[in-house]
Amino acid sequence: MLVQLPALAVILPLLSAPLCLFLSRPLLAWLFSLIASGSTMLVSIALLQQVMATGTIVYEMGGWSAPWGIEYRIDHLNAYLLLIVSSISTVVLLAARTSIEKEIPQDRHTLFYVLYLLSLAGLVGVVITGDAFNVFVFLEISSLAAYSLIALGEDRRALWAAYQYLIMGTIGATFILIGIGLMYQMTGTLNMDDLSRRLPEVAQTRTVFAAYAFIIVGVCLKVALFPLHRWLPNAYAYAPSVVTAVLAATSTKVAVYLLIRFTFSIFGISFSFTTVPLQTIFVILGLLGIFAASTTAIFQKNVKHLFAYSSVAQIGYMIVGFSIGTTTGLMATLLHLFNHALMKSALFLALGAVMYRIGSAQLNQFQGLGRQMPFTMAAIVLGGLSLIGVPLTVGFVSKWYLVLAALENGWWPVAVLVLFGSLLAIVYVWRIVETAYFNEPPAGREAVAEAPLGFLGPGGPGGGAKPVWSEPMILSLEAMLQLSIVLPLLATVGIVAAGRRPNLREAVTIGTSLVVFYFVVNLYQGLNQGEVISVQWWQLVPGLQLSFAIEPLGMLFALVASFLWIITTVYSIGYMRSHHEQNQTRFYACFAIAIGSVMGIAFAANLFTLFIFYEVLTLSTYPLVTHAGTAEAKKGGRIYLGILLSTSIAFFLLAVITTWVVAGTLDFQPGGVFEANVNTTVAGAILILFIFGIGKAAIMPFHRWLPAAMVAPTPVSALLHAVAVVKAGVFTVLKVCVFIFGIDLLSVLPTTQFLLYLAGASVLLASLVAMRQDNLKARLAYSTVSQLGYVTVGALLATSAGVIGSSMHIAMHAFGKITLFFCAGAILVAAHKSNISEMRGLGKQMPITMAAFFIASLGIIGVPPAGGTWSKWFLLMGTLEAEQWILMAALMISSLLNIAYLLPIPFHAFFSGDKTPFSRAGIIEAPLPSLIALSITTLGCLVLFVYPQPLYELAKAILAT
Amino acid sequence: MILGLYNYWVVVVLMMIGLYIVIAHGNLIKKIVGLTIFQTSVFIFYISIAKVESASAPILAEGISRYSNPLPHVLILTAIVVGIATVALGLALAVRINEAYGSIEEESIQSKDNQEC
Repeated sequence: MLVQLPALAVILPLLSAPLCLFLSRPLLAWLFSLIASGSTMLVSIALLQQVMATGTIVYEMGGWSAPWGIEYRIDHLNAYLLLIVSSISTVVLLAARTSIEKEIPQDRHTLFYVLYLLSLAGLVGVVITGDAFNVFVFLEISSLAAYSLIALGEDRRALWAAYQYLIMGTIGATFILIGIGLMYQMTGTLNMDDLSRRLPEVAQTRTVFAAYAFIIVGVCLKVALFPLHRWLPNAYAYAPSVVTAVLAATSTKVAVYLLIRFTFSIFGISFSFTTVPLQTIFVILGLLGIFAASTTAIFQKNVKHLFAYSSVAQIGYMIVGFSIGTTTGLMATLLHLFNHALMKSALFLALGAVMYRIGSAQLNQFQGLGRQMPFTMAAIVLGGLSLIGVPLTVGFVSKWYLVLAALENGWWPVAVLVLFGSLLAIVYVWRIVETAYFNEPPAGREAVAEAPLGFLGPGGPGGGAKPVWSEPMILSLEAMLQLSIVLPLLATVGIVAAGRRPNLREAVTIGTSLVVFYFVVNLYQGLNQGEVISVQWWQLVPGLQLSFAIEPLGMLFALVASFLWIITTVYSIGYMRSHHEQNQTRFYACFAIAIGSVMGIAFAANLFTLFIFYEVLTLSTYPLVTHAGTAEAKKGGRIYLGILLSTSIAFFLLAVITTWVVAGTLDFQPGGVFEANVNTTVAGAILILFIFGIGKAAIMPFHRWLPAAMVAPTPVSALLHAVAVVKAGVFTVLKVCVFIFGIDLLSVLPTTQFLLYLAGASVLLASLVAMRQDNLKARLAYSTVSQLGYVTVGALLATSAGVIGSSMHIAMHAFGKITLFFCAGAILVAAHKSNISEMRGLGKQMPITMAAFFIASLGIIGVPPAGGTWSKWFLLMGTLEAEQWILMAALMISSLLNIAYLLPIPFHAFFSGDKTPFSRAGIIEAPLPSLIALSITTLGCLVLFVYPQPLYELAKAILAT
Repeated sequence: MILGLYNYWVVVVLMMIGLYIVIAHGNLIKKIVGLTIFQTSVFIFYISIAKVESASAPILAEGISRYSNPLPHVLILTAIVVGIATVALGLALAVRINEAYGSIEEESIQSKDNQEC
């Protein structure tokens, strides 16, 4: 029985198809085909196991030995594809019943299942067979079934799409047939294995060239490689949703498999890439496909069309990986093949669920769906993120390998273009997200419920590889480390569950924040006692893992962030309630995720981990920025996400992968990871990529997102855009400077000087712009840009005083700026004022707030009695040590500018305005929780002046380790 | 030399004619006719490569020692079956398109689609 497995894989679906025809009841037909497809999946699992255990399986059809008979040959490659095809088909079939009931007339249901099984049989056959002519036959079986399946679509355009597909598909298949004939003419064999041995002897003949050309063009038509993709968008868009899901996931993938088989196994890589200039052609076509199709996708109104064009673009990625021609490149292609199959089937299934409920796939019908179909839309968002290649989704893994392969081969432009192509994906995915989550449902649409359960089950697999727990759950320091990251993430569940009861929800938030802070303090003590605390979660490949370790700099950041989270939560309770904000549950949930990822960033033991949490932080804060849902908020959100994601994917990720290629490791190490004799030009270029790529550090010209983010509610601006997000940026810069480059290397790099001046210019210019802002939050935002410049300058100075100064400034500025934002929020809530010109005389009404504002301003400026004094002191010392006189002047002037734009505000509040005498009755302060919060942070500013010792110790320890 | 390979020339000419019809004609039926001619040229090609000089058809008989290669004949039988299926499906689609659009001319179908968008 076990010996016959290969035959069984094809025969099962092939024989079930005609049998299914006799089952006139749809339910029976469905069950029958589900069983057939399921058992095919079981067979392919068994085959995969067998291949893993014993290597390639050779099966002779009917006992005729090759090259006379047809041989099934299963190696790792097709065993793996077999599993993809059969399992996707089974999963889609699970969801099929409800969907086709709506989209296909009752009397055709049985026919649908027959065709479905035939298509499956064809695809399995193409993959499993070792005979070139057999490939053609199975390809046509699956294609003919696919044409008919597409023609089952409701819209009459489905017919037209199916017809066009038929013409194109048949031309492609006939081309393959011609190519096979020519090969047979030259070698006298059709067996693939045999062909690969005999072809090299005759490789230099025109007949073989012609055979190759015919086969490649034919296969590329089936792959839908740009510019042969014209049949695909309409076929996908008008076919029934289920059909689209299965076709998008399997049929083009099988064609890609054929391309790999023919190029690498049969003709051989030296013929394909050296004799014929295929490599260049494929790279160019692949890249063109990525850009042309992604751009077209952006302009689609119909979501099905949008995803169809995105499929064409994703095929471009596979072709690029394939044409690199190295093991890594091929691995990238195969990974992407698998991942794309997974995410596209999930996306189209989710889309089917949407169509089931609202009967349309037009984008403008998606308004407000995020609330009405939360699970379905979550699946679409996950799948979309995966298309972009955001960390923690599968799409990231394949893009990682693709870029790695290009870099290993020295193909810089290709790596860059691949990453830029992903930026286009952000645009088209985000059009959907924005419409679904931040628009109100159109009037007149009935309340829509979630899709039936049959859909939801299979809709899930678009997600990512989730870290697997390995450590036991004892509250050791290691456990605390993990919990401080995981707890906030888990808390979101509680927050969402308690969504209808605000008191409980906020109690969950505060409770979590207290526990997290407690853990962080414990970790701090552990660190002081010299314990080494590190944890590894999950390993991607050797040397590349998700792991965490504690070192002083991260500790400092974690302490600041977790402490201020408590305060901010207290503050937001007052603010959000008295401001009557909507969607408070989403607010608290996203907030918790953001804090969790900040902890992840703080404790990351390598760049890879840091990058992943960096991206999670961007994504989780996006809903917070767009919170209000107004046009202005959405515009701000778009700028926010656009800049942060683009810089991180185009520059940061590139820098990370280049570091990996050059240094061979991404672990943070004291003194840096590069070897002493590293090429300084390359390292200098990497440094530039890092500094520009870490958009969160808001170095000009990539600072625009920060003012744009000010549309968010004030607590968000306070914690995230004065502390967590921006500090994550400069923290990353510091980490990279100290632990990736090391300050010794940094000081000799040719580009350091340029970046220093850029950061210095950023400090000065942002201060100047801040002076011109009348909106208080905008002024504070530009002030933040300027202060972040200080930290970057300190990091790049590459002196010990500079590093100490900038790490202390992370904390000092955090306390100062969060207080200022708290004050701005308090003024908005109590006095409904957001412009500085309206705040004259406000001191009489809000004395506590204005006093706090005054003290925090001193902290930002850097004069006693506020903590900011110390950090600026060390920063100036750093410039002295490095003999950077111009920078020193820039920092001094900027501090003077700080005085000019901050101090007039409290001054005018107390001493200008009408002359009404001060009275207690005139006091209208912000709600009590907000007042308490801002008093605590103000106190923090003062305490840090008197008692900066712990901070200083931590900062000093950074370089000591 | 060139004359000796005349059946290959026939193949090439038929192939080009067929492909041209598929691309150039807007009528759905004519497209399918073109597709059939295109496929037929491939059938002839396969049969041509099977021919062995001064050999008989591959049917076992007394007194014949040289046979043409039977394998391509078998292969092309399969391909003919596939071709028939394709043509049948294409024609069926054309009929359905005619019912739905009231036309089998590419241009008028396309313009009706564009109006809907």
